[in-house]
Amino acid sequence: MTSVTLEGLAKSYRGASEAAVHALDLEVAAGELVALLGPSGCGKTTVLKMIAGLLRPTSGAILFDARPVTDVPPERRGAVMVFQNYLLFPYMSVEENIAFGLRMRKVEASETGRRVAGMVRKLKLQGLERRRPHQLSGGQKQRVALARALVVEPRVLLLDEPLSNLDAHLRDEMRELILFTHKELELTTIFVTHDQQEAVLLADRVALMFEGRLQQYGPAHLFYERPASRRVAEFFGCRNFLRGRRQGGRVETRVGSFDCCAGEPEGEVVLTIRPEAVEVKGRREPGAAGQQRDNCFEAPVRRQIYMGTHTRFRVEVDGAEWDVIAEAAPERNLEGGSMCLRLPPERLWVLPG
Amino acid sequence: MLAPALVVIGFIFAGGLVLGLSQSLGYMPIIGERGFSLRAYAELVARPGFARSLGLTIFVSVASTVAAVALAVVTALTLRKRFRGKKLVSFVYQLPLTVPHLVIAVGFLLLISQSGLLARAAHALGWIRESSQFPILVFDDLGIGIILVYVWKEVPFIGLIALAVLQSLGEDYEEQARTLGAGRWQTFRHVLLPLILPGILPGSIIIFAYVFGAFEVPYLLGKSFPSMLSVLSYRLYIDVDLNARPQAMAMSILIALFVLLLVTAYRRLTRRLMGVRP
Amino acid sequence: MGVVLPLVPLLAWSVSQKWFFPALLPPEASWRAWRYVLSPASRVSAALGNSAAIALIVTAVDVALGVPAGRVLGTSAFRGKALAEFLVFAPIIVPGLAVIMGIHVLFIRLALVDTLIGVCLAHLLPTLPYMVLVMSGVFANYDGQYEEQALSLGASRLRTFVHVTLPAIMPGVITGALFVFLISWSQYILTVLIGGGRVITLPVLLFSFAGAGDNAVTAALSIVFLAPAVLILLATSRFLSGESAAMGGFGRL
Repeated sequence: MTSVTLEGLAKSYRGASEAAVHALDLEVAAGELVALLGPSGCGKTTVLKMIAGLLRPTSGAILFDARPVTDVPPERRGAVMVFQNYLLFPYMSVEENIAFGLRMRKVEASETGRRVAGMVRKLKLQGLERRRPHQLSGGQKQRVALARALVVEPRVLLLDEPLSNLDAHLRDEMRELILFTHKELELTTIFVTHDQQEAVLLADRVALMFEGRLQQYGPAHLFYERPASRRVAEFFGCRNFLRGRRQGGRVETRVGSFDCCAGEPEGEVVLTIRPEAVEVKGRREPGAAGQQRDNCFEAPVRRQIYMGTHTRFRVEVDGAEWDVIAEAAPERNLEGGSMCLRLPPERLWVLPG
Repeated sequence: MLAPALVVIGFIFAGGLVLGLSQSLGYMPIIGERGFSLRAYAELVARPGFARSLGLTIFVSVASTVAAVALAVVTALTLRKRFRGKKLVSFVYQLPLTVPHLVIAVGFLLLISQSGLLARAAHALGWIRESSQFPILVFDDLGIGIILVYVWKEVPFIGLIALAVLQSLGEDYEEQARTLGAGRWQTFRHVLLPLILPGILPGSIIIFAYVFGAFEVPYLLGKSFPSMLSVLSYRLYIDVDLNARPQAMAMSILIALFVLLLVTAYRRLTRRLMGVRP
Repeated sequence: MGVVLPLVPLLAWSVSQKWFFPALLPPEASWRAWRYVLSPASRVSAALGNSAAIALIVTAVDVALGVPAGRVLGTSAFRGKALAEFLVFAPIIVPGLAVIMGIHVLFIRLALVDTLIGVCLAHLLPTLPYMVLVMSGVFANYDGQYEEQALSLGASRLRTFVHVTLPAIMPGVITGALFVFLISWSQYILTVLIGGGRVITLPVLLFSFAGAGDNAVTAALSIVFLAPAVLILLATSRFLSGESAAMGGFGRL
């Protein structure tokens, strides 16, 4: 169980106008499973490779258990990386592949045999020891790649896009494998992905990166409930934004004023709320014109899409489009009409304007 | 469409081999011989210098191939990284590809003979006092001059193939091995080398076969006795004694057979190894 | 670095005279060797002419025969293809001397020895298979559908060939032609055997000067001999890449 700390980690390539990674600070607790999430090109694989020791950082430090490892070469660092396409050595058998790391460390032959056999059992690879990689199925290759990495008892396990390019069945298998080994071995694990679903499903904490910078770091629900910026919210599939002016516990907008919690930021702000959190009320209760009740407002319905388990509405709010998710099927088609929506104050989140 | 080329090649190549074979078996109407016998082969093998010629030829072929491959792999490993002046180095690296063997043989002759440039440099440095003290590198027992010429010529040939293989492999396998605990040398020996070798094997076999049957450079730089096999066959061919002619043919046929067998065996072998390619 | 080393003495000696051991540098520079080599009276110009003529004729025949053959081998499958392939490519590996010694007798019978034509025929042996090899590689990568497209758009066969096929295969044809030229240019023993000492080409001349011990002229001649090769390298450095079929040939010149 090793903790990993990144301090001011940065990487620039000669001739490139932008740095690949800008001064990253990140701390992974011992035994934690963390996802490095972001669109392609955001620098997450670069960070992973720096942790592995395959790339030298331009500046900054990497610490394992509070000891710097920045100058330790990859073969001695104890951070084992498993690549996306498994990279099983094609001319070695399954057994030889798994034993590779132990052989390189000059572990004694009988000990190697014992540990390899143990790993084969644990990952259910019995009977396949003598096969060559090209004779294995996708799922089997996955397990061999993982076995090969785990048998050397790494301090940190690094996975590069472990679930990408897999069909649904293999993806489930791999996900189970990762969770299983993480729990069994209490191994600090960091994996890289561009799919927020993956990150949310597997990780204890998620680190979201855009263009080489860390945007937000924390448990998955934070990204949904309290996104750090508009871009973060959009990355997680929310595009409900409303400009307004906040004063104390109230925000004035063009479609009405809403109660929300008090706090920073004040002044020009942007309200955001998850599509699932917006409440669809019945027809607006008749009341005095201009008077608003309980965070409700009316919005014209542009599209209604029945998705089976729920219905998705596209409504117009202050010139922009919002997504609203309502349960089950409404009796009639509301397109072209309008609906009354309520924004529960406890679900509203305020972003700087 | 294919026929004309086939006819020409067939006529010259197959015709040449068939005629050579028949002459080796003693069928030479010109001097009135019409029998078939393996006598020429027996006489050839029994010749006093034959075994030594065979040994020398095998040694030179093996040494040239091994040295060329080793140097080629090393240079390919260096060339695949980006560095300043790479274009120039690459160009110079490819230069040997078009230089005719004869030219380079002459160049080496002037360079490494006992009165050549290197000998003179040694003299200037005070290492030797007379030209005879400089080691014999041409017209020598080991064919060192010959080996040097072929290594010079063939390193870019294999090197470019090795480079292509390395570039298509990328760095992934090495990175994987490094994180699993393999050091630089271990990665090279256990991971890279087995991945490159199948790719450069065909080229290596070609070099070996080529040097084995080569004539020009051994003729120019080789010792008269023992000479390499092709030179031996030529000497027998132009020998005044016409009885040597069938032996010359026998030698040619043997060389041709060996080379063909080598290449067919190699093709069979690769078909089996094919399943191992990444 | 090691690459250039053997070429240095060639340059140095060609401009030297009376350069004996142990002098590290030539005592006097002299153009004697070059004047001899470049003078029209020497055998050099005749040899140069022969080498060039033979190489050009051989190249032309190779292109004429090799392109269609390469097309067939590169695109179609037919019974006996493996045998045809074997027949075409075997001469690349089997040493030419072995074969030529065999056919020499026949050439004598057909009065082809001591003639330019005979030497040209002999040179076809190492060159034609290479041309076919290169062209079959070119055609293997070639998409015949472009021709079908042109035909269906109304172009005649001839125009299709000229405007569609030719441009597509031209780089391959040029590369192939350039190096079969070099192969013929570099031939020695084949020329000696079939040419019988009557047909003198540059390599033949080079050999005799090398044996005679006039280092300066040998060196100068080597440089002349080398010139087209280097020019061709410069010309094709655009086409050369890792593993093309042409690569296979350059190491064998």
